[in-house]
Amino acid sequence: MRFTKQQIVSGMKRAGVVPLFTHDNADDAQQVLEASYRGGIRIFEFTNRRENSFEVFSHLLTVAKKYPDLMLGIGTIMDGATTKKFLDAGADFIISPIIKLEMAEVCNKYEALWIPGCATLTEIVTAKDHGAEIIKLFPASLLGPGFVSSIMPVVPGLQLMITGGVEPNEKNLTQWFKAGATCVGMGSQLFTKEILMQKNWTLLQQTVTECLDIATRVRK
Amino acid sequence: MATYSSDAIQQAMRSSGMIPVFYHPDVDTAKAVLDACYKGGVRVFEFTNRGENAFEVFVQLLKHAEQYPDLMMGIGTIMNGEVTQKFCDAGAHFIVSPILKSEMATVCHKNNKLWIPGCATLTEIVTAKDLGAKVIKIFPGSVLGPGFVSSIMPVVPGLQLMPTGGVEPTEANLSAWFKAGVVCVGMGSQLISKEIIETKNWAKLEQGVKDALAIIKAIKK
Repeated sequence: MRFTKQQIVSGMKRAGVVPLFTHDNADDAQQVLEASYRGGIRIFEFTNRRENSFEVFSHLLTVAKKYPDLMLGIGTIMDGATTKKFLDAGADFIISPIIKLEMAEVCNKYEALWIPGCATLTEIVTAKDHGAEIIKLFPASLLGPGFVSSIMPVVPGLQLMITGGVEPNEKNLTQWFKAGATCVGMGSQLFTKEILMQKNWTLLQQTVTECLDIATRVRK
Repeated sequence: MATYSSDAIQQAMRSSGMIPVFYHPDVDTAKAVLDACYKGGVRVFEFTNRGENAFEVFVQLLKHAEQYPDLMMGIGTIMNGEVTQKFCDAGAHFIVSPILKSEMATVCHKNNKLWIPGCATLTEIVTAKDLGAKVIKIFPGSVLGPGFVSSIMPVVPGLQLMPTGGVEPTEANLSAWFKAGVVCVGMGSQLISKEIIETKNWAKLEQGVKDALAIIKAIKK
């Protein structure tokens, strides 16, 4: 394990934004990772949504060795066996859109950060009771910032990562952070289809920098 | 009594895209509703276990449905394993629930019946899938909305979802659901309105069913 759980949690808090991305082409995935890094990203989530995601992720882990301060996690993990497979490969953290307790067990054994996905307060508290330090709220835009501000007073110290439909603009990010979010996850809103189709890595880098700036500004 | 494989029922749900969801304590009214729905083109029907004599009415309906050899009759609003077994024994073709209860999965699998649990979060949906659910009911549908379905479909490929609750038999509402990726919708009071029941306007019900099925067919093209 290259990073401790605490290092990753504080990295997420500091940046306020965790990009999430999947691609079945290893070269393009590498370009996106490196452009994100140049744009200021130090925590990156690749998602396990394609048949060859394990191979592409393994390639990205090799690339990440060049960047000693880059934390690279894997998302869209659904069970314990897959969790183990990616931790063995060297994933820095594990993210899931669901809460599945066997994943917590595996992560705890590896002392790896487990970020389960929850959509009700019961799921959130269950996740917390099983050791989740950060909990992903998914699909966030359907629950809305009002959901977050309603539950924050009920469970003090909750650290939420907001994912699903979060937009990289001042208005949307302000709403989420005001409600009490620790960080946001951003995928297609950040890495737009257009950018990917044009392979416009310069624009991607600029978009990422801009998004990180907004996240810093609205939390001041 | 006819039986249908889980695959045959799923196929019928996908091809019609809609199942009516209905309860009434009066057998004759229930029969009339079933007849009108069948005439309107329905081939998969869900009666719900929501009243004292729902079991007796359902048993009568099953007998009545024998005249329609291609009609699949399920029972909904089932909440536990024991009641699941009771309705399986009576001859229900499939079992629907507004909740996810794993003992119901066990009973359905033992009886070789399609189990359709009700879920409201992705964790519940994946848990249901892991327990063998081939079709999952999204409930309450209108509260979660088509946006919920389109958010989760890319995460869990191959899901067969059936939203129920507040689904409207209109072009706008149905196309939002089907565009989001559902395989079928359940429709209750929006289709079989109080007014239709009170006035026993079965011709209107038949027409309403025809219209809803036609809208769905056009959307799915």
